[in-house]
Amino acid sequence: MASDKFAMNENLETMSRCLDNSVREVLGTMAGFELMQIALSDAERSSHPAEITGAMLLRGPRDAMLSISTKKITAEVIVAYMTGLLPDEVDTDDLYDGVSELVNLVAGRTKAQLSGHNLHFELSPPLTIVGDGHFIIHKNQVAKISLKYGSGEIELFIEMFFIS
Amino acid sequence: MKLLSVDDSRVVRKIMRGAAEVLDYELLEAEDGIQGLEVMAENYQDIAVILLDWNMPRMNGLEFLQAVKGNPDYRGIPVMMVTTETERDSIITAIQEGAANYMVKPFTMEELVKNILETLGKGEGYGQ
Repeated sequence: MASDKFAMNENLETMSRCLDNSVREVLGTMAGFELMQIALSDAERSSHPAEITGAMLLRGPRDAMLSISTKKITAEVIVAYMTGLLPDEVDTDDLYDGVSELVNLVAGRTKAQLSGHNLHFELSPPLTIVGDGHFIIHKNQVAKISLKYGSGEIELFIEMFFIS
Repeated sequence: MKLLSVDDSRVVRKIMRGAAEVLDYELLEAEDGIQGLEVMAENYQDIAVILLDWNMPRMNGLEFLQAVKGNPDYRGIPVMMVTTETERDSIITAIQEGAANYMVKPFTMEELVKNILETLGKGEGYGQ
């Protein structure tokens, strides 16, 4: 099978494109945001402090972790738009669950798009990491995709890094 | 009448609540299949449509669907799968097991309401 021969450099571009499409589709459809991709600075490419992160594991030809990191206020606005609540009505449990659901939706769409390129992944349940100023550090040579998006006051960091 | 949302995400259940309000239905909620069956036992005569996620802890959507379609009291209630699961085999399995409709996330509220109406068999006349 072609998916057994995972050529990292060739597939990284495909995965990045599918991930980008998925982020735009999910945020556009579920929350009505038209996101712009923004260039990452060198410092942001290394790490970007966040207040809340949704994460999932993708098991496939190469295992990977997908994460979406942002500020709590941004996550509150996104969850509010997804649910039709006012941002003030989004409670802590909504916030944590909403970020989990957001990464679940993005991973699900990415998985669907990648299957069209003969790259098949299984998804773990989503999880949420909370902590002011937390960040994710990778080993220097790890293969990863880093994307940053903005829309008005909204700023999101998306990463997919390969763990096998 | 009532809609039953069986989904482990409270945010998704809130989205379903929004759709139920648009349609002037009451929403019943369950976090997984086991809780869903408990809600069914108490309310099945009032439930018009079940909105069912696939991946859930304890009892997943497929197991819940099989339990509903295997119960003579419940099997006439249409089930609409609402899930990120897009594998063709999964969709075929759900339809074969008796799902009346299959909706893939993400979706707009308009698409969700339209699909619920189709599942209710009211799609053609709504809003005219």
